[in-house]
Amino acid sequence: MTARDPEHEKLRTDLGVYVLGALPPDEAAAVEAHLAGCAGCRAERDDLLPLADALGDLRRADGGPTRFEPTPDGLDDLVLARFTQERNRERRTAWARRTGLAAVAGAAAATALVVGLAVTRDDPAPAADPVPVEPVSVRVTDRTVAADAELVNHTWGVEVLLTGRGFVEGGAYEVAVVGTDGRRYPAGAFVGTGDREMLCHLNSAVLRPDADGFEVRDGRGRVVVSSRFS
Amino acid sequence: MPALPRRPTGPLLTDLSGEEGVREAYAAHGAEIYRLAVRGLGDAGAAQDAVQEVFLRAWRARDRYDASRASLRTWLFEIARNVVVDAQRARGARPWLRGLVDHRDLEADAPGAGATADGWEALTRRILLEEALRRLGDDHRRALEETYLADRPYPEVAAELGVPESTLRSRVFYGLKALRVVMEEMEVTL
Repeated sequence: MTARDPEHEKLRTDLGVYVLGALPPDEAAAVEAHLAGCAGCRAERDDLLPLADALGDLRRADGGPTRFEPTPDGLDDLVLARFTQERNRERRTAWARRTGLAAVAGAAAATALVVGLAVTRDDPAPAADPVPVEPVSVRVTDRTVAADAELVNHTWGVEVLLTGRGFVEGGAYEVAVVGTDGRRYPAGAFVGTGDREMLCHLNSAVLRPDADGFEVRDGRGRVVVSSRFS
Repeated sequence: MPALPRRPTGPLLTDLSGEEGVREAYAAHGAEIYRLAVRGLGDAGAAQDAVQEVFLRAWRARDRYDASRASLRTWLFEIARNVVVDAQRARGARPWLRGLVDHRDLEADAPGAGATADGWEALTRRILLEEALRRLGDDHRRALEETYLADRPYPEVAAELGVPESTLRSRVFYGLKALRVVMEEMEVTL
């Protein structure tokens, strides 16, 4: 039998069904008889066997066609937004460190820092001068949550200073600034601290005149806090 | 299922210091990590948070990544495992999670203790094999899924696909061979 022999080719292509254990017994016996005398087909079979094992694991685990959970639209934007936010924070911190701002401000606000760091995440270094803030009203749709918010009008976009308590401890929340175009722009995320009060600095890439409000959503995507800017 | 475009499988940019590197790492592995997180946490919202956290931690730890010791995928998966464990601890034991197929693999004996090494390894193997199947041509993937994973008779599947059974058998054979090539391209060892 040669490689171009139709009979050989049939036995060779049956190796797929054979290693998956689905060849009828008489045909499996014919394949095995052929394997005994064909080193090429034995090598093919040995290449295919690990795949059959792996597919067997998959079949036992899932018991049907594979599931391909589609990646949610916009997840790449969220990943990059968090990366950008963290990188900017690091740059600000590095800049403050270089200019000695952090040391001065840190000494002046040591007590506040001790309290603040215990209950907040991602707080930038405190500024030396008070920053003008704009209070905004908030609407809370989760009765366990109490929250207030102020805005900081930066040259690079609006920052939401969110103070609150009652966000489920350990729960993840996402914040989006709503643009005047009606679109939602990522402004960061935080983890709830339960009954402890928290202060979050949430930065967006939306300029103040283009910002119409913000929303805080829980892990299930429900809006728990929202605000419309005047 | 519509044919999905093949994604590049060549050498990956592993410089995570800038936005382009993070973007490329996400494009190459974000979908796999999302599926890992969904299976590990059983919650799409929590999985999205986890994916963001994985790439953030990867960026923070970028100086510790050594491409000569592990592939970027392996390294990111290890970070993903830690993120999933942390997320499980943060939200505590949730009884309803135990009903999920993959969650039981992840649950250690002590509630909230997180992913076991064996459970996580088995889960990553499955996710990678699914990803490899996704990269196959439609004919090959359907042949393997319908005959083997769905455990349906060959004559029935062949009739449904409108091809002779011999063609279906051939697709299974060449589908397996293609799967091997794809997994080699993905640098996955069986």
